[in-house]
Amino acid sequence: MSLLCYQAQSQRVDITPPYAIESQLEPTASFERFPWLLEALRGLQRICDSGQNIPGIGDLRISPPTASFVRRLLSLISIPRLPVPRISPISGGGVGLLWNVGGKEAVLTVYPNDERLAYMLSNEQDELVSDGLLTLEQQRTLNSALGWLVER
Amino acid sequence: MKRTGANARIASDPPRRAIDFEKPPVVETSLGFYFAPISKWNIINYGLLWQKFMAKYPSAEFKPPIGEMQLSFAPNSDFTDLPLRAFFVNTSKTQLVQIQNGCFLRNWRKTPETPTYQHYDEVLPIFREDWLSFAGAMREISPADMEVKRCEMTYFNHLVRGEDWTDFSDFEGYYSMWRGSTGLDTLSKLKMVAIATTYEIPHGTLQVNSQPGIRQTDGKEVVQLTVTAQVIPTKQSNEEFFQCLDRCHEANVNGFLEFTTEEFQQKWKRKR
Repeated sequence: MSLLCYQAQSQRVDITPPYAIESQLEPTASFERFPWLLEALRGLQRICDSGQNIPGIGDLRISPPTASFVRRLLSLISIPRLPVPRISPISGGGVGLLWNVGGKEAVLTVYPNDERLAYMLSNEQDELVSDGLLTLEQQRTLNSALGWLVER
Repeated sequence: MKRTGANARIASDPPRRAIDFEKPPVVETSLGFYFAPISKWNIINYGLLWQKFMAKYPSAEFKPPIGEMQLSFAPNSDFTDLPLRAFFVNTSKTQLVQIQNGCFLRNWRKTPETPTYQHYDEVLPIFREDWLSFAGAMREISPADMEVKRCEMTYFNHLVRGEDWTDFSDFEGYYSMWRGSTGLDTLSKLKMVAIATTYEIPHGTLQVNSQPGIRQTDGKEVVQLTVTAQVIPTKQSNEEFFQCLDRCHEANVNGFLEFTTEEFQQKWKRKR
């Protein structure tokens, strides 16, 4: 048995200023902490502003409640080093979000008038790794799924 | 509007509700005391403390502690003082007590169900009651007096895009300390701005931070304007601690008024 096994646990919390002062009851996801978030938000705004009902293609208009749902979804992703997702409208009023990191892909699909979103993960060989449905209350699962993209 | 210098007022004036808004931007307030960590702290204390608080705050959660943490584990580790922060939350999730070995904080927030802003003079008696309850429990747990190092008060204000502002360049006219980029060429198109400032006040500091982001509860784009004052007590007595909180409150109010322009304040319908 190494000496390390007998080493007492060292734990210390230093709360000497400056430390992060964060809202605990009304949290926000800041653009500074999550550099991809501002571009994602602007991307969402662009498809909301340009959404049209195109005969033969589909209704690409996104309702304010769906846009709000996607913004909430984005704010709950607590992974700073994600790339900016590709955001596209889905016929019928849905929104798709796609992250590709070195061949690994994560696709989140938000449907209108649904409290759930679908997720799908695929690896570099384009094999399905995981999929399912989530609500916004399942923040830990959401972050675990997207964390897989950037884990080393 | 002519006002006495903030530092001079903090030192001399008694606390009072000097200003008021019909629609204040504040969404959350936090009052608290930071104390020297107690050497005999035990995680069982959280259970003992919750017994004191559970009638008012029936929900308990555990979070990472505030501050920089160094952790190392070994097979014979002692987890007696595992770094944790306990959250005791009331039923409506509008009132929160935060406890860790080193600090006691109490937060209030606005919700659609409880939209009326609880002013400092309304929150303070509740904080006092909770602090005295905590301090009493701590005397039972560890007879040595707690040494309070800092008193702190924070206002979290949310400035909502589409309601309080439309473009980041608006803040050139809303933050008095920021000149913006009017008249510049390369820097003419502002995409995003985050500001962090710290000022000295008597016996402490005042931090004003402006951070844009997305509010998790409703997905709205907001700028969170956080105003935090910290004052170091010169004596170890509850009277002194609460006077320090009063000074924090005064500094926050004056700092907020000086940081924002009257044009911005009119958006929240300033009453006086």
